[in-house]
Amino acid sequence: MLKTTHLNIGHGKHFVQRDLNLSASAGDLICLTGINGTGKSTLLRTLAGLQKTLGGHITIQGKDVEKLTNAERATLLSLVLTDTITVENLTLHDLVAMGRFPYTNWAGKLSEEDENIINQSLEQVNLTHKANCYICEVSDGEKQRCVIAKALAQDTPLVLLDEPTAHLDLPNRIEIMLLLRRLSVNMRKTFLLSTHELDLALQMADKIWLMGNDGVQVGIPEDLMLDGKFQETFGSDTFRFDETDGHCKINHPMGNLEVAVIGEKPAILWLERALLRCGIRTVPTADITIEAHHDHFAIGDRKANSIEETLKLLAEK
Amino acid sequence: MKSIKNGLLFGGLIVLMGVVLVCDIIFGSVRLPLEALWSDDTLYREIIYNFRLPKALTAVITGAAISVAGLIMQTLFRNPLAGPYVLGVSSGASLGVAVYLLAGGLLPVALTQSGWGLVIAAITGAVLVLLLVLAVSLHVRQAVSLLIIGIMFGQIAGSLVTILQNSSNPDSLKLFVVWTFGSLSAVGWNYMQVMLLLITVGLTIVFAIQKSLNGLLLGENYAQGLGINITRTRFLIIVAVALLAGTTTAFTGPIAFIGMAVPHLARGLFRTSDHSITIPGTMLCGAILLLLCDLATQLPADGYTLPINAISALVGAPIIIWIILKNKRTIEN
Repeated sequence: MLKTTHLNIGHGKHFVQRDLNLSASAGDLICLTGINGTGKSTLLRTLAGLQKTLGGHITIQGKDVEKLTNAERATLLSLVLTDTITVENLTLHDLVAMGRFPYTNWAGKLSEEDENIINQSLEQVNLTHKANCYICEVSDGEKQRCVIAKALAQDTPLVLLDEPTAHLDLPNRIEIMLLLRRLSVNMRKTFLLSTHELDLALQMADKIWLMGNDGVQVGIPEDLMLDGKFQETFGSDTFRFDETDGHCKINHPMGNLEVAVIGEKPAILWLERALLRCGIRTVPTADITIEAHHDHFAIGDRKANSIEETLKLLAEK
Repeated sequence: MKSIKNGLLFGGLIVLMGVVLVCDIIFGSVRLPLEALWSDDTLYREIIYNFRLPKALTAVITGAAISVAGLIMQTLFRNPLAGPYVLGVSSGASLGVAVYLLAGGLLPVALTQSGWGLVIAAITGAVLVLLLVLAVSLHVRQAVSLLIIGIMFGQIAGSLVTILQNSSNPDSLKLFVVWTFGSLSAVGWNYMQVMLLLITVGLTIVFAIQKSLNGLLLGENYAQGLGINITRTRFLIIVAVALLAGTTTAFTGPIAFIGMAVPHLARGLFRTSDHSITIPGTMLCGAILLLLCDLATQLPADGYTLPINAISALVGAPIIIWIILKNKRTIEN
């Protein structure tokens, strides 16, 4: 579907990435991630045709993107960007209707079929009831869903999204990712999105394109994690990726105090986290033992009702 | 539902324009009775046909043209404060006219008689300033900063005009000073043809690119993603603004703030940013507002009229302040 061969990207004479050979199939949800400055946005902008390639080729459904006119390209790929939309008096319906531009005449007249597609797109993102609201009146999450609906209305096999979940709160971030996941399965569209949300990307993506300073690692999230690619790319002394669940863990500086912890889940797990955060080691053979029960904690004969109080007791010792 | 509402609004505006147009023809340094419009009296016919009608038509054409110029400049710059006067395009046109009137004694009479020379000079000046402002706007994103830069370009053009004035002969100087006051009555039938021709070309371009203009509302990246040819659209917008603002400035002098203020009135009235509605809406509102301004210039009576520019600034400037207050957030970012 999408294929790059020996693609070089960058600005002017400054190369950001060289010799990228990437491919995506229909129905893939691909998360593009990596540290800042490795060229995530540059890659998306280059694929989108907003920026020239510095060598190599990009083909979508076998067509060389650089040889296409803007209008032809607009029928193959649609965009969801970080650019803010601040148009006064623009309804959600009219914004989605702009997705039909590549198919309408010079005056932008919408046919009945166009209207159907617009309504379906709004329905896909659950915004039918807000079709006649103005864009400046809806929430950021709804605005983002509306821009996605615009991309759907453009009816392209490939959709590129630049950090679609940035600036959104957690429920909206998850909702957007679930939406993309559902659309990629139901509509067999390919979604390529850049994101810093590793947790979400690991749980949602069919494939991860992991950008490092020297190229892109491609694979399904689990393989990349198992092979330690994330650690390699994001590698740092300050945190590591937990091998068992893929979450990132901070490497806290450790003090000399050691305690042993016994007790019930989940109290014991959160107590251990709190100790870790405070730089206190948990060692089974330590002199001090903390008992964690579901409703209280105990150090020897002294009791505490919360983890906070437990930490205060420890501080006294 | 929505289209019925728009239809009613357009109908209302057209009727209102008709009424104001008739008022503009009747009121003037000499007040005519309403019957004058259809009477056979040669004196009335003379006044109406040679003075009042061309003046009223000039107000309609000019009001519509500079307002549409303002509308598409606001879309191009994505800046609610853009307009031919505030961004110095009118000043550029004035500079062209100044060079032409004050230093252009050497030009062939054929050019001066038909008005073509004046128009070409004004359009050239307008294009120059537009290109400069556009080049700067690529580096300056803040709406208000661009405004200040536009004013600075206007100031530079103004200084150049003053230098020209200092070294020119009194006759051409008087001609120029009168021109700067802005006057709708200076356009006779011979000039009207040139003006109408160029404005029609400009408006045709604007109507033809309405879809691209809508796309540009979302910003250049999105517009390009929707298959719009940005370079061509930008070029056509510049040509259209130069034709609309340059031509009207050439014949009526710089008219302050109308071009910037009217698009906001039209967008507010129709509650849309869709150019297929705002272009005709802006044309009608602009024509009506300038006719009203022209009527206001007649207020002192006794054969004495105020310069149109004084009135248009009096109406337009408060609207600008209102827009800045209303859009405080978007303008600051």
